[in-house]
Amino acid sequence: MQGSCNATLHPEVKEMEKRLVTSRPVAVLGGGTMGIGIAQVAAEQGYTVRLYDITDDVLDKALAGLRGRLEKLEQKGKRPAGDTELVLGRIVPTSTLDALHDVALVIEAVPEKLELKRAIFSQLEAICPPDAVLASNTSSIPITAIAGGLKSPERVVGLHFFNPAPLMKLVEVISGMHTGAEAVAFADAFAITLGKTTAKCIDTPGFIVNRVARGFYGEGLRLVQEGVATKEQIDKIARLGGNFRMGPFELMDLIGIDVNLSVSQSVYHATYEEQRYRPNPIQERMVHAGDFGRKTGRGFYRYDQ
Amino acid sequence: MTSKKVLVLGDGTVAAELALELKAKGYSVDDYLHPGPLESWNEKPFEYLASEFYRLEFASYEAFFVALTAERDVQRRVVRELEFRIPKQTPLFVSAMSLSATEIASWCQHPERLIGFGFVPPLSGVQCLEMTVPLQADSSFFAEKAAESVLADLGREAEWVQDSAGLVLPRLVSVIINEAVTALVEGVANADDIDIAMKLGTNYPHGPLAWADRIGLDQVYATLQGVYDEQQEDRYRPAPQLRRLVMAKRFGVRSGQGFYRYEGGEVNA
Repeated sequence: MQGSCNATLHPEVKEMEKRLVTSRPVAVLGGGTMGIGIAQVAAEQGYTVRLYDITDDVLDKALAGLRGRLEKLEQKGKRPAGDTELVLGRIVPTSTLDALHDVALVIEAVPEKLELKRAIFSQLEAICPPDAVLASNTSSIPITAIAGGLKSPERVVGLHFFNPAPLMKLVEVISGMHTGAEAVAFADAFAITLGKTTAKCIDTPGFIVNRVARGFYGEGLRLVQEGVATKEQIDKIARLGGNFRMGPFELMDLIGIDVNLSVSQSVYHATYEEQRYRPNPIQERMVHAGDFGRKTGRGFYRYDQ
Repeated sequence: MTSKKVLVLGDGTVAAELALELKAKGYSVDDYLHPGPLESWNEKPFEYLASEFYRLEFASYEAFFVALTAERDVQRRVVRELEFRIPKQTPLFVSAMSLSATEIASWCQHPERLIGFGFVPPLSGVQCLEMTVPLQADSSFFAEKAAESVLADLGREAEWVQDSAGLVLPRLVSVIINEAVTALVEGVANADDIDIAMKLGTNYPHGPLAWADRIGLDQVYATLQGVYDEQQEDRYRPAPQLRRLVMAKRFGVRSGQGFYRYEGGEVNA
């Protein structure tokens, strides 16, 4: 199946394929939003992707969703004709980890549960070739904790994509306490072949973005609580005074207030309750009310009218 | 175009940019711009200002603008020295980016004519300025009238917010910068990677460290210290490295070095 795809490469894709850091397949674990997004990006750049999830049903749904999105873009002329088949042809679904015996790199994007990730990584260590780099797309679990207890923690690295993975240019490359320089270099080079820009950092709560951005939301909420300005004013000032693309409230509505709260909680607890990261009760109240932002039609602003 | 005469006094990027912009819009500007925060132990600038204040015709100005990043005692000394000489019907615009307009007004003989303002450099990209009125002014009528013509001349919108040290955007941006500086000092990532991550990972208009260099580290420090003093909360405590850089006169772009090095306007990190 892979061979026939290579024969029909578009010239621009051929050009990109020259930049591949490995001719071996790469694996993406997890068919959720991040997993399928990362699989798409890798496949678009010419990699053969083994997409793993626990059931064929989940995989079918993930691939059907991707097909729908790609076909829509192809019909609109935003992607070259035949591109959808080409990309999907490079993604090989599998519901067994044993199929990952030949990969050069694994990117794990399963649910954010440490025990689950540790169980998977210990299996990967036995299944994958000894030189394979084992990356996690976690945003809230320490890379060091995922690697802890493995025989070769030097192979484990963080490769943190941003949502939506096909559009967001940044990938954070995270070194855990025992991550080797080779794993970092390989993961970094891989992300660059995907057309991404990388930022290297060490394994600390929130890495770079999720940590440094906390104040944008936290201060926005406090300014409202203190009555300094309304949320509409704060968003306007951020946009027209600061050239932010969106103000803090517009951005929280886009990200999802539930997602934003959970990132805040994670950074707060991971720092032993450092008070400057303390989540704001306003966020929790909105989550309780089911007002998650754009996706529910209602957040700091209304989207359902 | 206008030929209104104003006086601009300050020691940071905000005052310098404002003076330049007012000149560009046709104002006749007398400016007193110190290259960095005025220091309480250095008498020379104060002696100079005192001699200048003695010879200036205060009634000839239509408005006064003061934007200081110096510590509170220094700001008080300068404002007290200046304000009593200004005719009481003349508007005095003060930066509320480190101290609240109300606090600055508390040192004045005519507190009701103070108008607080704030913006985050670079001014060229700023479409709306934050404005505020000290509590001593019972109504915002005078302030709005005075600000209206200046902002119209500057081609900017006013957004009126409640008085508070650091207002909205200076506080928001300074808190982000403080976190970036803390991450940098902790060795989480280098300056370039932190800036790239924030620009691409969350679409910020500038990397926080490069932005700090552009705003002036003295201003960022002054905003954080001012908000910290007013709020009395640890979350606003300025990163010690920020204070040290200001003491070393590494203000950023305007002094040639901050988190990055600048030569002839080029980044040389």
